[in-house]
Amino acid sequence: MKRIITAATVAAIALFLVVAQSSATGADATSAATGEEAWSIALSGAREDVFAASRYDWLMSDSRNAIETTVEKKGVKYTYRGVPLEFAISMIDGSDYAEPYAFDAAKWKEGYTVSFVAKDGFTATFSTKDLGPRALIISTLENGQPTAPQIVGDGPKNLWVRDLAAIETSLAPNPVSKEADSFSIDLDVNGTAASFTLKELEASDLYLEKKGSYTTSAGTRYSGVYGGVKLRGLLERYAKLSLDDSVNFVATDGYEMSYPGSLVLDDKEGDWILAFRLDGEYLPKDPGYVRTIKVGDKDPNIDGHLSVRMVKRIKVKQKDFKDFSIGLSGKATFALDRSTVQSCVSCHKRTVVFERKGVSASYTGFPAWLVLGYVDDPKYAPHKQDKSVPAYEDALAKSGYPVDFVAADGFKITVNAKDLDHNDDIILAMYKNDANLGADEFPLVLVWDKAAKRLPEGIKNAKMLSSINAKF
Amino acid sequence: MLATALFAAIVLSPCLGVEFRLNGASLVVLGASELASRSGPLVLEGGEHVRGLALGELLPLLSEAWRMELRSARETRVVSRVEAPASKGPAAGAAGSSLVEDSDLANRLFSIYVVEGKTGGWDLCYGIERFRDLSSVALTGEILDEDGLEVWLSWEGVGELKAEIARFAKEHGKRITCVEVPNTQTKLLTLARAGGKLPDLAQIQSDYVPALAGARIIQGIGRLRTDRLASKGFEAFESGGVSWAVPLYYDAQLVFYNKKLVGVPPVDWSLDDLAALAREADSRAARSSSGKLKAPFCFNAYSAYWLVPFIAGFGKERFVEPDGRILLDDGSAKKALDAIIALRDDGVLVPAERDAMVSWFASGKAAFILAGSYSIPEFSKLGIDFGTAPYPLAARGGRPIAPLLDFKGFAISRRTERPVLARRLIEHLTGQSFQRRFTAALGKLPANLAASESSREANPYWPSLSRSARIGIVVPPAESYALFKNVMWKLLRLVLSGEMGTAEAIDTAQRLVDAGLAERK
Repeated sequence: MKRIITAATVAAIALFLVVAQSSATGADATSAATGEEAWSIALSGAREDVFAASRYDWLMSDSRNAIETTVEKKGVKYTYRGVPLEFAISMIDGSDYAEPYAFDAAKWKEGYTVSFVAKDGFTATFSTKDLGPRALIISTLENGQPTAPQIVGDGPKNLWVRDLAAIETSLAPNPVSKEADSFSIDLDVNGTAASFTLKELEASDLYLEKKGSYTTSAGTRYSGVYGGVKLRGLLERYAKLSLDDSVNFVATDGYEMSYPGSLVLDDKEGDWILAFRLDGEYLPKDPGYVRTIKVGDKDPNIDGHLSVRMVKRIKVKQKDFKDFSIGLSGKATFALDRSTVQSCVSCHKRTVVFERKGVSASYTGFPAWLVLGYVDDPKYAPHKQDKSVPAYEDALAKSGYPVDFVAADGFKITVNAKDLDHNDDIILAMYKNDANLGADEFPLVLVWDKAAKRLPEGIKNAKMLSSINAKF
Repeated sequence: MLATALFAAIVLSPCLGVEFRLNGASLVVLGASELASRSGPLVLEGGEHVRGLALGELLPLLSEAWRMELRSARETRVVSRVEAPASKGPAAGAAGSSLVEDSDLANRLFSIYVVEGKTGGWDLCYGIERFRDLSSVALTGEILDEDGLEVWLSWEGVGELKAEIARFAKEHGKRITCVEVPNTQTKLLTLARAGGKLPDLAQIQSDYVPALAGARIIQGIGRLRTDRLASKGFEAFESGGVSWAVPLYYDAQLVFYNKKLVGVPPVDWSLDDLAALAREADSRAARSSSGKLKAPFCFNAYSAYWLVPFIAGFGKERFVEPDGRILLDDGSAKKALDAIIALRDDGVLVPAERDAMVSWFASGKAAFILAGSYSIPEFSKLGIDFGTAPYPLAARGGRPIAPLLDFKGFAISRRTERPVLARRLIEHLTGQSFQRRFTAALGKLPANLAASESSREANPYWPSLSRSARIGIVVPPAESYALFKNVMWKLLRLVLSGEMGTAEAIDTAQRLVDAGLAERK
């Protein structure tokens, strides 16, 4: 690429010798402006810098740099003195970070946009292809009188901008892509950490684009061609997945969801991918930058709650994932599986301190009364109808009915629904001391807070729950 | 010769018409009947109702104009060198010729009016000044040569906007492309990220501002700010001390009541009054053959959008703090939630989402509902016998529950190479004439104050709309508001189902909104 040394360059060498000694090194360094500047113009391009009054004055002190131009404004002639725009552009059109800045004439000719931003936010833009680099000047003298820096000259009048605060060019990465480019997704597979930017994922051989769909709980189906990397392929770079592994996703807003290995490995209808493109365009921050979706030739359709939005971290801990299904019965039946319970814990998390035989432990789960919403009415269940219809029958619970909590070994305790009603101190827990339940309690355990204000008489701790049955 | 004779006739007989000249050349002579046929109702700055049209609609688009000479049939007299702010202009009733020098004239042409005079001639109204019996208007300026504008439109009224923009483009010989985009924010961000070509103008709503301004996609519009547009409209698009869009129209939240079930609510009513009237309506219905109401009072209490007004009514002075945070733990949010829960527990309020609420209202099963002013044309079409009232006071003698004013506006791309054409189109679309027609057709509130005033008599809902505009607050153009909305719709469900107390919900919301803000920083 041919670079032109401007007329100012020779004179700049003296300044360069001083500046080069004091400037920081590196492409991100900005030029040395003195501490108290009368004014300054922020510059953004291939790098960021500031065009300050001291540099302007220094350039103006050399008659070879200063330009005088007379223009007609609203029927009146005005004379301006200033320096060509290229002196500011030369600071940001390449990697030079100190004098002498070389102006890249070839890049200018090739074309990029330059925007002049005034203090009040007003902006005027042109393409460098349409104007010469010396057509416009930065001036602070109008008819010999000092003014705030402004753009004037031999170009369209809509480019004459007063109170100039910034010059932005399309050579700068735009803030949206900058943020997206710096986004990374973090993996933790059995303690091995890895991190990938979207660019790295897109360049990988795991990238594919295929059709996929999801259906919301309200029944609306959303389809599109998603682009992303195969989840299984990415994780298996670190460990071979098995059916009983668990893959835990954490979203940027704190939402968590786990997939059993069996789900990730199930490729009958298509592949689970970490998607970051939809119909060719990058997903925005929400629901992206990354979301999970299943794609395939036959446009697989998944439940909306399985498509995790805004994925930030993925954690795989092998062999500890055990799926389960607890039968719920009453006026309706329902199979309570692990992902439903986990989703429930995410939204209604409750931690209690449970004491048994003088030993306390912390249990985390969700209030037990919430499961009654699945079985106390044949028509409505949580998240299955219009949001204005409550799934839980308050009045019925208050009037009372027995609920059996049955363990895998046949142990059963019965609690009256009116004692559970809105009682957040009695919970169904799936974690103990922040870890999964041990084999003697898995999959769910009925526990309560030792400081609970309201406890049914004779309530007992029920472990290894296999079913919950409401009697009407 | 003929032309000279015709010109003399026009000059001597002002009622024959007005000549429009640019840079010394005659552009057109419009007869009184043609001017009259193109005129519509206008409200002048002093409040006078007249018929006329904007000068900008009669002239080519100008990039700049700095001199305007006005002539009447009488002797020539020149008022020279008025270094004119907006209020300066020709002396009222001055005879002869009047010269206006105003460096910003080109930007004002859509708010300078040619109006029917009282003596059969045509007058020119410039701010509060009026030049009577106009025979010619001569402008000195530069014709705008920008062309090829792209405009993104969204929300209701896209068809009407497209038609008006096409008319504007045809009249001024410009190429303007309109594209309907369902979500302009998402599309702009996606395109900016991909480095694609952005439109010159895009319709946006207030809560798009932080993301679009932060991404350097839109530019400040301070130079377009005018007193003739609602100041709350500019507030709705203000972030970091900069106005980022020009308000076009807005919707206000209102109380709708079924006239068959309740009478006209009293002026300065309170929430207690509303509850009492709703209870009475329910009792009356219970005694009648139709039976008890499904919902004496109903609104979508699951949505934060409808909660914000209650929070303001129960004491919050400023919804978003100067540092961008939302403080929910100052007592106002708890009082608001407690009041809503109390109404629900009392059986007066039945929270429901829009479809259910509208269905009950239409079938006479709900006495009072809260809905946006955009529902007025919809309910009228459905043949519902309804009335509207402004939101009540939170308590007798207290603060009003402040309806949210949901502004839509036009933002100009930071990268546009046609900034002046973009501004001229905005000036036209925010001008009185289009604002009045557009908002009347769609049941919107015009951002243009004069257009709002001119609809006073024709609009039966004007009293409640104007009161709502006065007491209302704008949808906050802040990132924290988007977070608040997202967090609250989940928590409100828990609160209303009794699964979470109001204090816990507010603590949780505060924590989650703060965490979300920290994450984004």
